[in-house]
Amino acid sequence: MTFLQMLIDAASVGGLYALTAIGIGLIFGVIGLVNFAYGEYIMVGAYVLLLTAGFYWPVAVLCVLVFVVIFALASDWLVFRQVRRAPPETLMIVSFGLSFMIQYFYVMLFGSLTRTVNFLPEISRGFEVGGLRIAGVSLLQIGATLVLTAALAIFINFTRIGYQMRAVSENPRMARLVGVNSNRIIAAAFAISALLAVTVTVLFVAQTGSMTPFFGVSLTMIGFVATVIGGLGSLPGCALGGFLVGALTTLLQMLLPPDLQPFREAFVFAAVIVVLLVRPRGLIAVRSSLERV
Amino acid sequence: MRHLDVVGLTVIYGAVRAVANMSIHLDEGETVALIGPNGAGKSSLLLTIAGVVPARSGSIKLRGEDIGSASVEQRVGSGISVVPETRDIFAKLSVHENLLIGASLRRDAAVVKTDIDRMYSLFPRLAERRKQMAGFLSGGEQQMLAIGRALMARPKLLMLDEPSLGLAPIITDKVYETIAELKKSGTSILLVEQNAERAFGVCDRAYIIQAGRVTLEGSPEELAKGGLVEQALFGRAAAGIVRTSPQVETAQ
Amino acid sequence: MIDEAKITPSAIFRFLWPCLAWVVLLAILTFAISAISPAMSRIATDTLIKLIMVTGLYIFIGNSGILSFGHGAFLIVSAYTSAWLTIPPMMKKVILPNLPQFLQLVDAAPYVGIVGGILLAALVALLIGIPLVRLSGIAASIGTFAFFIVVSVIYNNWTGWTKGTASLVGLPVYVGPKIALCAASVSLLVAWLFQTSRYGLLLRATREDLVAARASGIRAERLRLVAFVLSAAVAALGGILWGHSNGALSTANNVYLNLQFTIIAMLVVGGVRSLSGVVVGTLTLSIIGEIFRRLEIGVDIFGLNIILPGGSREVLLGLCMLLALILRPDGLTRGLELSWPRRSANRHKLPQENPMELHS
Repeated sequence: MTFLQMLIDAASVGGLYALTAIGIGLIFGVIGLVNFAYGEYIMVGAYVLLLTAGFYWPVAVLCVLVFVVIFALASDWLVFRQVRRAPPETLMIVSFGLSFMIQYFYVMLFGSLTRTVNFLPEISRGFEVGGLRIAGVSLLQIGATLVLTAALAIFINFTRIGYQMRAVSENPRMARLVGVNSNRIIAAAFAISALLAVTVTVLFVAQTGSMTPFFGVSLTMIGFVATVIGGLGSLPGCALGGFLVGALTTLLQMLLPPDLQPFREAFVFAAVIVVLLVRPRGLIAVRSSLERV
Repeated sequence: MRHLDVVGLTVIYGAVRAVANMSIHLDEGETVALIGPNGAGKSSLLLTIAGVVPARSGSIKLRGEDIGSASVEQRVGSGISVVPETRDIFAKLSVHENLLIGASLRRDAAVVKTDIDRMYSLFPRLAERRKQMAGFLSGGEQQMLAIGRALMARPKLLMLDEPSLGLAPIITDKVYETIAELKKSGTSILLVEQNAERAFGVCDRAYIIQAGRVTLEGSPEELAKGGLVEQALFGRAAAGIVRTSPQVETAQ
Repeated sequence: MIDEAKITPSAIFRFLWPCLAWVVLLAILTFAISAISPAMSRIATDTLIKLIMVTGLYIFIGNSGILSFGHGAFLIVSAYTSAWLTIPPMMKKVILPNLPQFLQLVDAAPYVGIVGGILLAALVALLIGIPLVRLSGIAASIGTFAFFIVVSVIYNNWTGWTKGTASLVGLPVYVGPKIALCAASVSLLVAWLFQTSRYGLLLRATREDLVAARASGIRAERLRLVAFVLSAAVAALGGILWGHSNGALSTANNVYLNLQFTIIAMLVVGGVRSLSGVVVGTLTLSIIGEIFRRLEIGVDIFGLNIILPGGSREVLLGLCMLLALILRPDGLTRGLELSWPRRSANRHKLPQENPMELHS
């Protein structure tokens, strides 16, 4: 495997992680919520794809988008809004409980076994360029990450909702005192994070074609890792963190002896502990307007 | 006409009674000062009127309408703006964005634009730093920004919490000049101060507040006469004044 | 702390009352329920074991105010240690041929397994605790959770020693309601003694106001570490007994993640700030869980056969926890301990005489 090939693999895996990390980091940045249920936004979207199998694909994607955005808004409205003033640790348990509940609700609906769907098989087909094996979905992953990250950065920095979001993030009480409708701003943050989740869902299902009610968990975990490494709540940090974790897993895949391969994830999470201890504010000292102390 | 009428307001934090059965009022276009030592409950009163601190009992009426159950946003919408003691400018937003966000509830974008220009001409220092993050401003500039942000909502009732706190005298002068100008323009102003002399220079009427209660009320001239304020705030004779005040409920 | 000047039996009894009352209640419940049927006795055992785990979790969370999402790791470490020590050598040779020679040959008594498991868990807690107790708030929660994932990934894939996601069987099944009751009582007592000890009180001071506590010379990290290790040891006892009550261990299907979630939920529902919260939360969620487990199997009510689909028990568990957090964020007990019965009426008059009454 050449260096370039590795770079492409790392970037495509990392792109997925980066999108997940940004989705988690955005919500954390705005309301200080570490949202375990984020993985469930990704998971429920996959089951919508399962149910809409056979639809013309843009219609299927639209269905996923509508469903997941409503789902995310509902989770905020029914659950997180009720505990808005609780400390972040309590919010974390709440989201943990919600995530657990949704997973088993899907076990009730669909069973706990793996379900498969043939979604856009064309894009996961690979092609060769100059000796490099590139899957279409890898390119999509890289492209989607770049486009969405840039779009989000513009949105946060240059729009009215963007600066209101930063204001709510920095001082929710004062934001209310100047008339910002914080619930609406928070809802906007949930909707955007749902949009990112949908992107992850579509790319992930196109790539693997399979799902279980639990598959969101491992993606969320990786997303957390990237969020922590990037500095909690800093969006450029989350994006870079995602790519770094992608690079780290690809690297570990290459360098670790085969009998240590299964323990890859343990190394990744050990890295989280190290980062938390050495650089509690993130590995990459990117100063974002959304960051939270 | 009564602009603001607070009757029998009580605010409790945990076991602390911050505001105890307090009644104050403010007429249209009037500037009223609340004067008292630290911890007397002045800030709690402002935040309760603004709606971010819940009242335990009592009523708050704005132009005769009870706003006790209105949301913070609704209160801002009906013309209440507050400049908190801690200023609470958004440090990570630019100066310009801080002003813009003050107009969050307004839908008249063109007028907002001219208002912002007005703020810049009122506070030229802010104009120079419009693109900077507000966190980098000096204390005085932050105070100007906080006032500017509050004015961006075009408030009918402006509440200022210790606007001179921690500022150099020359900047305090500037702040009070601004308050005087606002007064001229007809805005009702509720001004919290520890510095009675400063407040008397601008207000029409003042309340002396101690331990969550109004202990004295009157025009600056009346209050300044015979050192009543000093007595109320520092004197041992305070107890005597308390007894004569009609505002005070009987001791528990 | 008890006033050393007047240690009389009645003073000691009063001091222990908030803990003893629960122990007595648990004993009565255990014997009553176990008498019904062997199935009910298994439920009682299971509940008591969860109570031990929750107590362990409480020793750290309740006193330090820091959430741990890592105690599941201690359950794993201790349970497998005890399994390695106590599975009969003949079975070990077949099931775990990759185990090193000395472990292959060990044929230890149950108590050796318990001691070994607790010691290893405490050691792991000490090693990981030294860096982790420096973290507070959300960083601590994420750090402990990362630690849990590391341990769970290792045990999940360390198939030569653990059989990974396959079941490790052959654990001697020696835990019944009586042993579980004894262990739970000891755990509650340990928790009560710690929370009323000098260490516990100082640690609670750091929870209320870390800066002030530091300023008055309290070394918060050291106290947290003590609590963390003790807490891991007690939780480990639960983990070990769980293995020896089921007779098998497995890391498949996020078993330990869910178990960890369950015990956190129990603590939160009961109220993280009091020992009474531990008991109330564990019993409440166990009873609700049990009812729904029945419904998943299917029961006849008034001639209607009701069967809930698999997974509904977990959904309900999550729902209870969310409702508790939303409606009663301080838990069912609101951080209060049982008070000495005759004195609760005149508590207002004599608040300073028995400071143990209220630990809010």
